[in-house]
Amino acid sequence: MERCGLTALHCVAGLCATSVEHAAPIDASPARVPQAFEMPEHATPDLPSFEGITLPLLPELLRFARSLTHDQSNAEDLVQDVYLTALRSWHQYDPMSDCRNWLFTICRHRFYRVSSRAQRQVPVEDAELESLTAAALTMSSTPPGFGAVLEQDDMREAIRHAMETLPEPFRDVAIMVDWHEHDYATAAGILGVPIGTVRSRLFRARRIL
Amino acid sequence: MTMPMLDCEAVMRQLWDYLDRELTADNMHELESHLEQCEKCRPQAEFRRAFRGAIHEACEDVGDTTALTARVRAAL
Repeated sequence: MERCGLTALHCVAGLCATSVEHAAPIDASPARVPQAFEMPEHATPDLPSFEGITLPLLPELLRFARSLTHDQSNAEDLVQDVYLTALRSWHQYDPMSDCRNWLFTICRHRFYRVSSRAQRQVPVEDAELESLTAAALTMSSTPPGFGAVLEQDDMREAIRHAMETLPEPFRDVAIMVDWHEHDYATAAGILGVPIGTVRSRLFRARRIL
Repeated sequence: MTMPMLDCEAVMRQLWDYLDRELTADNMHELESHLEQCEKCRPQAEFRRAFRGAIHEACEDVGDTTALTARVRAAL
């Protein structure tokens, strides 16, 4: 059967309109990832347990939401939506897995579902070609004392602005790895793409930045 | 057996993976050794390390989240 390349989670989140077979979620069994963001009627969420595990992660989740929405108010609304969604899906959460990644996954899908940005796709170019091109670009372009320049406040603002204007597939990866310090495998799991795609998109993102 | 030295092109190709600590321990060590000895590659590594750090530093702090935590808790 033809595979569309997106995971079942993307399909559930409305990111895929095809009826072909979907790839299995990366590093996430169906039990670990919310499949339909619905709680069966018989299930009762353990609110103290839910709050105890998830609320300490709120600042980090807000930072992630902020990097997606570029707006504090929208980010706070998104975070609240994520918590309500997560509570409904709490019965699907695997306590042995990383709750932070689970919440990040929900956050990203809720964001794209609400903003209907999922249709945009950017073709991924060969990672090695990207690597060689970037290496050639940077080989002779290092001015002395560049570290000090990068630490200036206006440079931070410029980098922030550049990050916000990156094409979404590249920005998502850069946010995951450079801002939230996820390793490639975790970023791949949250984004639902292969590790090689994370690597090549991150390379391009950094080159654009 | 002595491992063959990496050439500069191979180092450049793996440099981001090295800085992101995505290589195996052996490969990390190989690149580290090359960068210690190679005057050509070391500045590139330093530049990319500083650049990577600058991107990370540019991530905004979201400030006090007490009010939002209370709001979320009330909504649950």
